[in-house]
Amino acid sequence: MRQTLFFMLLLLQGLVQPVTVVAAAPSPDWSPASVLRTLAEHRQGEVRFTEQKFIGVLDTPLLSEGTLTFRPPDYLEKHTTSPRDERMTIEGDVLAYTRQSQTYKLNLAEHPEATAYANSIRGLLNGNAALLRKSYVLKLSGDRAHWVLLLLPTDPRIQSLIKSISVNGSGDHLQRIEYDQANGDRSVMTLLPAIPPTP
Amino acid sequence: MKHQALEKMSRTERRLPVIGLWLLVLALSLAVILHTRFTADMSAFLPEHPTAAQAFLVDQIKDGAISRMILIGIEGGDAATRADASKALGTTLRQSGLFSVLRNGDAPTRDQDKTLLFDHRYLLSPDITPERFTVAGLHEAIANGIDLLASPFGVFSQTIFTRDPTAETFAIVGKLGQNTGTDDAPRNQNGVWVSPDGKRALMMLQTRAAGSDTDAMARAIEAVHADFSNAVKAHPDGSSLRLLVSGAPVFSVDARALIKSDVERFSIIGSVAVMLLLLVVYRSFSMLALGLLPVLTGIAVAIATVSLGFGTVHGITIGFGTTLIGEAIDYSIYYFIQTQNAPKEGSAFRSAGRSEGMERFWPTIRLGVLTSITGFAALLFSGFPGLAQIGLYSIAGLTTAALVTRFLLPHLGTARLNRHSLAGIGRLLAPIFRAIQALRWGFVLLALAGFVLLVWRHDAIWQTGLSGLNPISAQAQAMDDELRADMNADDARYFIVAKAPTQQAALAAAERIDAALEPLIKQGVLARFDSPATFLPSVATQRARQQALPDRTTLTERLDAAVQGLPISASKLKPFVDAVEQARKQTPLTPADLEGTSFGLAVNTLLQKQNGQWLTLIRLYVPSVDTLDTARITAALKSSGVSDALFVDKDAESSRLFNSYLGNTITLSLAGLFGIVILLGFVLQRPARLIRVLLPLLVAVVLVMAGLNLAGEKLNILNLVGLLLIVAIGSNYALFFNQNTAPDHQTLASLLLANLTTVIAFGTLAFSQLPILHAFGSTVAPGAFLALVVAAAFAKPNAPKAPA
Repeated sequence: MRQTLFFMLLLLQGLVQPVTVVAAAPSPDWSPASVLRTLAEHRQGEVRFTEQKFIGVLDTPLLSEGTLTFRPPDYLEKHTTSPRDERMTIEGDVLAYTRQSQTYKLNLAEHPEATAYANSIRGLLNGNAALLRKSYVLKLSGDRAHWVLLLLPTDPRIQSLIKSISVNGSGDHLQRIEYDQANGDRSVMTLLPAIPPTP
Repeated sequence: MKHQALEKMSRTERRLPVIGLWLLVLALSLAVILHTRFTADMSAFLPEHPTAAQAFLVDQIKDGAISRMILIGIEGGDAATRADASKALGTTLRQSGLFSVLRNGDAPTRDQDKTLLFDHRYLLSPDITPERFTVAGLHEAIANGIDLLASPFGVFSQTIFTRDPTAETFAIVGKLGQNTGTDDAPRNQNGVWVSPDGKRALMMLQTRAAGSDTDAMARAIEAVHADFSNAVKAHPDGSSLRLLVSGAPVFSVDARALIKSDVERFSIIGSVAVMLLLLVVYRSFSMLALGLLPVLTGIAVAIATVSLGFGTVHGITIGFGTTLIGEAIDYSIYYFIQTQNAPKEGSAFRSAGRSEGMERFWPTIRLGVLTSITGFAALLFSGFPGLAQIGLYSIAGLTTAALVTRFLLPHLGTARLNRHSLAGIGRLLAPIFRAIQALRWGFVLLALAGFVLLVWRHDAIWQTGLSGLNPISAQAQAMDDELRADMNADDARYFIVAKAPTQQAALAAAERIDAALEPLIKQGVLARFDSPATFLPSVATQRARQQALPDRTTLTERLDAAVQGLPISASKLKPFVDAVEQARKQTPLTPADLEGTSFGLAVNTLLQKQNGQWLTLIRLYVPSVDTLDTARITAALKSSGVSDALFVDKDAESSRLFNSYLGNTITLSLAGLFGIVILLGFVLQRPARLIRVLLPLLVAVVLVMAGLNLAGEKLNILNLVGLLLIVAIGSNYALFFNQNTAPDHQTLASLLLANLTTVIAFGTLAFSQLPILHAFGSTVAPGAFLALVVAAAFAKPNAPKAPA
């Protein structure tokens, strides 16, 4: 489930940006690939999150919270419950965003970079490091108790939008995803410990 | 003897003036023909004086946006190659200037769209009201804009936030997306539109020229093919690509080519066959040439008359007209055969025989021509210009041919007919003639059976809808359907139409209608609608929005208060204040400003100039066709205050239109028939003779209708004209069989010959791919033959005598 989050975040923030991922070569038993695999194995269906967005033009960060849901193979939902009820889903190539009882749709296929990105994320969710390495350099640091997986885009077009994505975790748990934009904006999504599943 | 001398003298005296007059008429006709415009578009077979709803339909078919829309598919190769070709083709076609709209999903259109929307957001956004620019309104709108920043759409909105903190751009896109059904747009792959299965790159073009300008359509299609082949040559993998081009312009160009080629081919085949037959019988070239004179003069005068009467001459009229050879040649056949019955050689006697023959043949021919004219005169009143042309053409052509036969040929005729061969044929025919006579009541019984069949299957006799006249092949139609489905450009069915004197008035009317229709969406009567005002508000509305924008000082003051409690300071929103100030002075957008954008296409389609007026179209999408509540739509229209707003169901209207014109043509044909009966009744006087003449014609018509019905052919208005023609041609046979004396061998032979030429001329038409020509051919050819046979059956009962 933590991967779901990860996936989610990447998607949310990089919607229109193409992404590809590459892993650096780590030690044989503990590597980006093994971390991704472990995350995939311990995937949960639903997790709560809080998010802080630091947007340059705004004086204070925007705070929000809600639930993330992933249903294999490719259904993702980000349901924000506060400060306003909003729902975003991605299924196949279609992103739908609902607020104030209006739904807006975006066809990811209209933005080839976004499609490439979404597909990369799907690879990531399934623990497929090889797929990610096509567009990102993966750097793993720390130790098993507190690790950081850094994704650095290799495509200049993506670099112009995303500086880096850092994924923080502990063991097989994903804890925090930080997303640094090239323009200095930043967001931090914190995943809350698992709660008893609600239907 | 004295009488004959006088006759001879006067004939010689009249000879020069007659020939001179003929040459003059011929020269004048040719002069007119040289200046004649020939058309071949199918609109001549659309009604001329329709109701308001039908007028809309007809105009849409002739000149509506659909009539100018070309659909393109690129197949073969791989996806990237198709995309490259689509982009290259799009670029060159945009530069050609032939098209007012070109959409293939390529970036140029999208970029133009975005720029236009963004630059005019304060004029286009439906949310711009004075309330929105109060302190409370601004506070709420900016809070909403900040929410968007944090949403998935923040990627788009963050770059424009300080210029558009109230998210007007988003509001416009949201409204357009809803109303244009963005979900319906074709899928985009590699930056171009593709079919749902991704195997075809798609493009949609709208020509600048009117759809009725077939030459311009041909040029546009040619440009598409030429540019595509250049694009293919320039691309290393291009050779694997195939181009599909469809749409109304392609259909009209193809139809014209088909009409031209079929009219040419079948005229030539028919004429050559008729001439060969005559040559075999006459065994004389000079006689053949003489025999053709009335026909050719008739055709020339007929074309000139139609040209003078209608301004243009339709290809179908020409195609039909050449079959007139079949009937007009009969006159010279009767003339030659009947006037050359003189038993002895020698000029004096020949002259006597000739004049005696003229007395025998002319009254019958005159009556035959009058009968035909009476029948065709009814067509002059047809609501289809194409049919009226055919009527006029036939009247002028037959009259001329008969007059030339009667008054010119005697001055030119020196050729001698080999009467022995004809008499021989006549002798061979005599037993057949007797056999047919025995079958007289058999034909009547057969006709009765046919009549019962027609009554029993009366629902399946006539074709419904205009498609029966459509010359487009099933294959081309299938490709068009496929491309349309790929592009989600299915043919729209429900419209609201309103007229206004100016473009702006039309937009204003659209706005009022939109407001009245809006509640119907909430009530579930309508799913949605496309209105020109959705894409482009009227200048008045745009000005009203400008009025709602506060000046710089006021806005700055209010903004300071509005951002209280929001995580943004007013100083950062200076670009917003500048943008609003600029928008206050902006020139409102007009349709002309939209050219090249996808909104341009929509507005072009929904806002049309027509006969000096502007037509607003609002396309309705309904949740279900079966349960459509038209009464509520009509009521909403009434409440809109746009007095001439009209709800149009295109499908229902088109079949209603066709049926009303089918009914109209049936009435006219019956009127023609009635006229013929009156005329014959007046001339023949005795009811028995009248019945003898009419019954065979009736039998022939019933048998042809029943036969076509059994063959699975549904009759259209052209079949109906064909039936009228059977009566017109067949009446000649019936009259000859009912002269005072029983038909002699010469008459039998001449009738058979005349009949064969008619059957050949019309029979070839039956093989045409054009439904119109096919309808004529398949009706008249068997009908004329049946008319001859049945007329023979009802001829004077005594056996024919050889001439003394």
